[in-house]
Order: sequence, then C-alpha cells, then structure tokens
Amino acid sequence: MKPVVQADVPSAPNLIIIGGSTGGTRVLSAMLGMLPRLRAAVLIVQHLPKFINNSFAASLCREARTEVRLAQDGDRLEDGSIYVAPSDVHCTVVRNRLIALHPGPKVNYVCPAIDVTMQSVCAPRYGARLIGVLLTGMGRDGAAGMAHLKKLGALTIAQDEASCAVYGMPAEAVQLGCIDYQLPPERIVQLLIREAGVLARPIPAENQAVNN
Amino acid sequence: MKKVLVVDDEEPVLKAVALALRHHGCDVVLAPNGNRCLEEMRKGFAGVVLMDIMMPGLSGWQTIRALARENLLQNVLVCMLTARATPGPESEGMEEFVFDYLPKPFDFPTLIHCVDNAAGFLPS
Repeated sequence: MKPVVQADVPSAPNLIIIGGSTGGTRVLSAMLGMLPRLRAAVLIVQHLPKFINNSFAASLCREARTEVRLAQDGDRLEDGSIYVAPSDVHCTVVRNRLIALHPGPKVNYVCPAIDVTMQSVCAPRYGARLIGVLLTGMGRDGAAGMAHLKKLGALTIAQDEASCAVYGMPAEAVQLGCIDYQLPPERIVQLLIREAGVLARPIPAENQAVNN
Repeated sequence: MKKVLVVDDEEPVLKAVALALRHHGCDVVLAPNGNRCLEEMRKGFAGVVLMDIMMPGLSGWQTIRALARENLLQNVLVCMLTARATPGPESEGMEEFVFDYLPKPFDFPTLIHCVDNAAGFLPS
C-alpha cells in the first residue's frame, strides 16, 4: 500500500476562536496590542453593530500591527491570520480550514452568534491545537460553544470576573463546567503564546535584498 | 469632536460626567431621563450614549428598547453606566444594543477610556 505522505494532506492550522460582547472591544484592543503573530489562525466573533465593522477591524489592525481582516465567505484559515466575523451573518468554519458566512435568524438574540461559530468546529487532526476564548459580555452566547470545543479536546479560557465589564457569558460557561482557565486579558495572551507558538516575522521587502 | 449624550437622573452624576468629558474635549449633551434621551435621538444625535439603568419613568433598558423600536440606534454606541455589577433580567435580549458597560462608581480615566474607545469606531 502506498504510504500517505503528510504533505499531500492539506492540514488545518492551529485554531483560536475568541468570542466577545459588551465591553469586548476594549479587551480585544488591549490583547491584540500584546499579541505577536501566532502559529495559529485567530477568528474573532465580537457582537458589533454593522456600521462599525470596518472601523473595528481597522482599529485592531493598528493595535496588532498586522493584518486583521473582516472575514469573507471562503477565506482560508492560516497560521498568522486574524479574522473578524462581520455583523448580520453567522460565521462558521468548514473542516477548521475555511470560513463560511450564512444569513440566518439570531441565536441567543445575536447574529453572528459565538455559539454558531464554535459549534461548527470539528475535532482537530494531525495534532493541530484548538483553543476557545470567551470574553466579557451580557447574556449566555458562547457558553454552549465553549462546551462543544471542550468536548473536542480544546483548551478553553474565560475572561476572569475581576477584569470583565460584564461577567455574564464567561460565568455561563463556567457554570457548564467547560472552562480550563479563568484569566485576565494579559494572562490570556501569555497562554495563547505558550500554547500556539509564535511565527517568525517575515523579512520586510526592503531588507530582503540586503539579506540575500 | 467626540459627541456624547449622558442620560442619568442624578444631577450630581450628570454634572460630574459632563465636566470630565468637556475637559477632555467632548461635545456633551445631557438628558435627565429616558424621554429626553428619546427627544435628543429623534433630533438626530449621533455619537456615544452613556445610559444610566435605574431611572424613574423609563429605565435605561426601556429607553434602549424604545430607541430600537424607532430604529434610532443606527449611528450610536450605547455604554451603560450603572450601580449594578451585573445586568438584571430586564437586560435579556439587549446584547446586540449594548456596546459597553461601566459599573458605578467608576473613575474618570476609566470613563474617558470607555468613551474614547467607543468614539474611535464612529465615523468622524
């Protein structure tokens, strides 16, 4: 039998899904300001009014000093990529590799719902890491999603009560017993770096000639 | 200039918040109750709304529901200012309308950070 060559199998990247709601934009700005380019794809589902989608992604871009894109249907999840789910459509992942956007009714009173995104994730293969993060927010969106990720073997992190603007969504997830760590944002960043690893920064184009 | 509408029935809170925000360079409009907030929004206010929850007459949540019914939340980001550390049952279903949440008592740097963060996403 011909052996399966690893390189022939398109592998899914390490995947980090971050859900946030009320007060989450302040936390995400702070976190992305501390975050290096991770050896993981990061998908952010933050409840937002549609009219600030672009300015929110642009603001995270400035903080992260790397590209943060508003997710589009068919976008590929790759190491180092950071996507923000757009408003008014649900955002799912296909085989942990591609983004799919779907119009649909609100779930947990919101669209996109963090639960919908997290519950679309499948068990990681070939050793890929899976991490769920649930930040400050009213209501219970994301709790069931975190429980789903936990069942798949993910590392699950909730923002701790002291640092939350509203300890609603993280508290619901904690009550489901599916949270590994409750941490403030700076320690969440440290844990993401430890678990996912960091990508070497690409050599800026203007320096490549010198190095060659 | 950042535009902020402060809705609170407690006059000392209104005055203190207005003083801090004007000192920070904001254009501040004050509303001592939910109905005045509705009037300002019907006049076309666009900016950041700082909303108390526990007010006589329309509560903060009732005011937001009324604003949503009239489709008046298209150009604003709402931050709740409240003595409650966590929202009560009246807040159910408000997730999509509430951008941020600032429990009282708050310090002014936190207030300014909250307003600057929200205003930073709004069209200038």
